[in-house]
Amino acid sequence: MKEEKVNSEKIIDEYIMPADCEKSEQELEQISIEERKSHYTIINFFSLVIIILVAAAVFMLLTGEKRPVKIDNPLTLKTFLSGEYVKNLQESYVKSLPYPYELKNANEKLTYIYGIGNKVEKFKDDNDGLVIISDEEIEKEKISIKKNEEKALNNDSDEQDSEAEETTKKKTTAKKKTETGSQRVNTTTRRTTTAETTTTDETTTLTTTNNNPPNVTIKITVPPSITYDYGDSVAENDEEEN
Amino acid sequence: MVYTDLLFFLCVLPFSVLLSFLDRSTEYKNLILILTSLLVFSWGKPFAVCLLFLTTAAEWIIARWIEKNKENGVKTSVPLIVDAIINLIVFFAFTSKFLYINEDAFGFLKALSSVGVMFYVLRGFSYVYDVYKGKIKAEKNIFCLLTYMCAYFFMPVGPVVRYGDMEPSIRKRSLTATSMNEGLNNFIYGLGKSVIIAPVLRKIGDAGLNLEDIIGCWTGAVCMLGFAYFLFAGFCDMSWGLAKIYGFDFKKNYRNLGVCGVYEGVIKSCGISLYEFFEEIIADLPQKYRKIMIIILSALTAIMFNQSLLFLLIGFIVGLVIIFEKTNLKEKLITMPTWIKFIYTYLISFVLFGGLFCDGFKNWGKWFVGLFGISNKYTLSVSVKYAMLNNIFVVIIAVLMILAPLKNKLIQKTERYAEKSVDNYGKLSIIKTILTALLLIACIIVITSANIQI
Repeated sequence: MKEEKVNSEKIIDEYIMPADCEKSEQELEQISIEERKSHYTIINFFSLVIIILVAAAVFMLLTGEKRPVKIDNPLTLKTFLSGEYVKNLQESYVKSLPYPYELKNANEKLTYIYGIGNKVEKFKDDNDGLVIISDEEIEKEKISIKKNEEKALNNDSDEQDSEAEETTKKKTTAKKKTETGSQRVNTTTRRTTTAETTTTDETTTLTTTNNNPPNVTIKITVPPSITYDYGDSVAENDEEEN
Repeated sequence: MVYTDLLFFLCVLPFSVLLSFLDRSTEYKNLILILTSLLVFSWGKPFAVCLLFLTTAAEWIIARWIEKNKENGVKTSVPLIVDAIINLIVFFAFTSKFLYINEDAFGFLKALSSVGVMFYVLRGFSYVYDVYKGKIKAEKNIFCLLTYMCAYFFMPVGPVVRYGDMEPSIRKRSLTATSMNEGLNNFIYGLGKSVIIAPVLRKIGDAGLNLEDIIGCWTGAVCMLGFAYFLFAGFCDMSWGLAKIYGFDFKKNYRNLGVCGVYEGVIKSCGISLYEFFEEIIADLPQKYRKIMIIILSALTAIMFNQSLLFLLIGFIVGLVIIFEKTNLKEKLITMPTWIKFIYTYLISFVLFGGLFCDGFKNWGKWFVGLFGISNKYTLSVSVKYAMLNNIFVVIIAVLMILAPLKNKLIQKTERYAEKSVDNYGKLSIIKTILTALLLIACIIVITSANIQI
């Protein structure tokens, strides 16, 4: 009897959910599903908002180095009504964008994946502004450095016969408009020759020193994309010097 | 200032949205919206603000006058005609480049300025027209009307939202995280369409429309049509998204291209609200005036897109095509096999609208003849070949986006997968978030890079 009682109690103890509760349970489950879904929505929303706000803050607070930012922009009734004030304001904002070279390079990489056969142009920081260096130009740059090096060495061998120390200055005008900055090449050979080429925007100075000691250091500083015209222009420059 | 301007996208927009959160009252939100809109339009041209105020005041006065006279039983069609004339004058005044100071980095302003002003004047006219028809009451509070007229997200590509639909949101609106998220996502998708896909298609289109080769003639026109579609769709998405962020809700102004005729399948798909409004005007007219009104409105729409004789002529032809489809082809189009409908719709659309990108009648003729290989130098020119190859992946994505059946199937499949469990929904959400974030970063890079001058 006891056992039966216990059994019957057990049966009674088992919770039978009323119909209303079952419905509310389902609704609760639905609400929890919706809530979980809304979490993903919030993650999506905030991650996008953060990207926009960070980009906005970076572009407003930081400015690109070595770029002209200041534009004379007085706020007067005349400049405001003519629209010049806001035009200049927009211009100065665009000009002061930070990391211009990096952004240009990133865009180049992005356009590279637009299709087949795209070439990536590299943008390099330079005092004068943005400079494009294509793959071809880099190749030219290398060839140019080699040529200069060889010329410097040839000059040395010609001058080796004469025992006196000789210094020649040659000024050449850079023909190309785009200048890719200076590049330093150090080479050590057995001969005692020091060739030094320094390039500025307009002139190139080549200094060759011939010494007796056994080791030679060649220092060539050349703008890679500049072609050196040792023909007419050198003659002209020599005339000028004279 | 347009949506793709860096200053708008990364300065004005975040500031405006953050400012509008400072107070919960709708009046305050409206004020911030009006100020932002005036800043966007007056950027460089404060005169535009005066014109905006004047037109809003004119619409307000005329609508009030119509309502008052209607109650007294006086005929009110004259003020309606006066309003239409005022709007036409405003249209030509605005399109004389009063609104914008200089070209944007992508050169979209030329394409958008006329369209934007067209939607602006039509929105104003629709308000007066609805008051005239007795569908809505004339607004007493001019600031509510100013919010409706000036809200900048209605401006570049419409839609012609009706005041009756917007009034509840102007008076009271609430914001939720879901609606804001939806808005932001749509803004980014629109940005992607406008700054990544549209310029690529224009590049290929420009190469093709040199009219040197047969394939160029075909691909050039297709790509230019694609450029127009993606530019419009992109700006529609951005407008819709921005409106959602500010708490407004309306139907998008474009839909997927269809095959049910030139008018229903192509023309109406790019400007639903505009053509629905015109249909309403035509339906209100007596039967005998309807056909002539169709021709007038289609020619007027064409001239509003671009003030040239070529557009006017194409507008007339489009009007005739619409009449033909509405009267003779209506039932046949329903029973026709899909592939015949497809060929009919897109062949006519291609020949008609492909010519819009040719510079004048002479070039249109040259392009048309070039489609059949007459007067072409080559079969495929080097410039077209490389323009296509260099951007082939973007072109494939664009084609997949235009193919509505494929797109719908993909959406249905992902929705079904997401419905299976919350985990699936979460996985898809995270993938979507990552892709959208990448798209946003790509857009920022493209816009910034386009703005940096060498």
